[in-house]
Amino acid sequence: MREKQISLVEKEIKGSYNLFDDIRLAYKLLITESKKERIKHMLRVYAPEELYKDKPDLSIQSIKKSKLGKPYSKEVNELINKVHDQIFQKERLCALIKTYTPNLARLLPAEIIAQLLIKAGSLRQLAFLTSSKLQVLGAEKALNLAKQKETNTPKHGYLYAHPKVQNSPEPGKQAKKIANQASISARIDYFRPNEELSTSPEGLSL
Amino acid sequence: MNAPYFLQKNNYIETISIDSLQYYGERVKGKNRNWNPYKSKLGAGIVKGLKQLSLTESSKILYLGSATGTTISHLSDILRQGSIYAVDISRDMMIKCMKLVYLRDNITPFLLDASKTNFTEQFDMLFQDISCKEQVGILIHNSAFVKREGSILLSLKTQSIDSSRPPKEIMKEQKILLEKEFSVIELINLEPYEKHHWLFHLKKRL
Ligand SMILES: C[S@@+](CC[C@H](N)C(=O)[O-])C[C@H]1O[C@@H](n2cnc3c(N)ncnc32)[C@H](O)[C@@H]1O
Repeated sequence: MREKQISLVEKEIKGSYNLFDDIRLAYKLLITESKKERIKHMLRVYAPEELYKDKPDLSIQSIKKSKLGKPYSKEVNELINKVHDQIFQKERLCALIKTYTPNLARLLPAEIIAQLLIKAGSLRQLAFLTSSKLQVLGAEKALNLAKQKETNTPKHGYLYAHPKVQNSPEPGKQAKKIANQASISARIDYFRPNEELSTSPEGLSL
Repeated sequence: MNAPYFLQKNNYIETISIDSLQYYGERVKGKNRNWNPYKSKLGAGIVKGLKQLSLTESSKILYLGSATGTTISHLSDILRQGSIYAVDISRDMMIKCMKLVYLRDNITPFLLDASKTNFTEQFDMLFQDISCKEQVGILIHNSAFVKREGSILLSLKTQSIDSSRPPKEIMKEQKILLEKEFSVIELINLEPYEKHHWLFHLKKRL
């Protein structure tokens, strides 16, 4: 009875990986400096059991054996070989974002979209945010401080990295404009009639 | 509490494990594992004087919101002949918890939403620590699986219900809801171990 339940949970975990996990991983690989941490990020998706050990080992065998990781597929080979290749990771992130959120991808750089998605928790949650919330996503600290002191709220969070915002004489207004457009694009992407991509399990806090 | 594998000296609590495993960075001396009240809400409750807990070596516990398994690891020490059903909705939390599941054979994992549970067994104790708005509703739903004289423990996180109103006000509101279904035996404020948390010890109305 207990064994059956454990293997059921293992199966559920294995089956729950989706594109969003790939995006999160690609983004994490891109921003982490230390090589050791990058390996850990890889393992977190492909062979989480290895992290229980003192000396986690990233290899094709451990991925094939893993009961809790994302199922093995051919692309893993290339991914393992290029874990530390920043250019490859960046291209991969762009490609993933383009398939996951094609409309947002036209508007914002892939890194910003990845940041927004990760902060919101899922595409669904991002699509349901108000555009004013989206505008200040990533500036929670300043926002909470402003709320407590009743001073001016921040004008931009992650969107500040957008070239248009940076080059604008009025970055706040530009950020608002972009946030409005991004909010609409996120909704289009989420409600796009492509079932496999647009529905992520509800309530699953990733 | 009538449990030989549980020791208490004033504010210091310990459980005796079978394998002297260090699970979440707690202090371990031989087989005695320090139960850190700052990391576990049940631990905090016990330190703050939770008394009439009917926990024995062979109890069956339903634990909702197991997360990474901090509290469960101690319950697993205490229940040598009993068993724990650990329910959590988050895949990433469950992956971390599986480490414990593989090590201890009295824990059974369930990856599901606590408001959609359905068990055929009857439990001696129910512990709920879920950070969501519907905390009381979920407790009432799950109390159906508890024996008539079983203990029901709820760690109420007022911040998940409404973070803009005073915590005490929310607690009183929720208490009225709870009193419709249960009789409140003990009510413990978990300060200074956890902010804005209360531990309710409830019994079913006979
Ligand atoms: C604060 S943590 C519990 C910590 C744990 N009690 C301990 O002391 O180690 C709350 C957990 O509740 C889970 N949770 C939230 N909503 C849930 C739901 N509807 N059903 C099941 N679990 C849920 C979250 O995934 C999270 O891991």
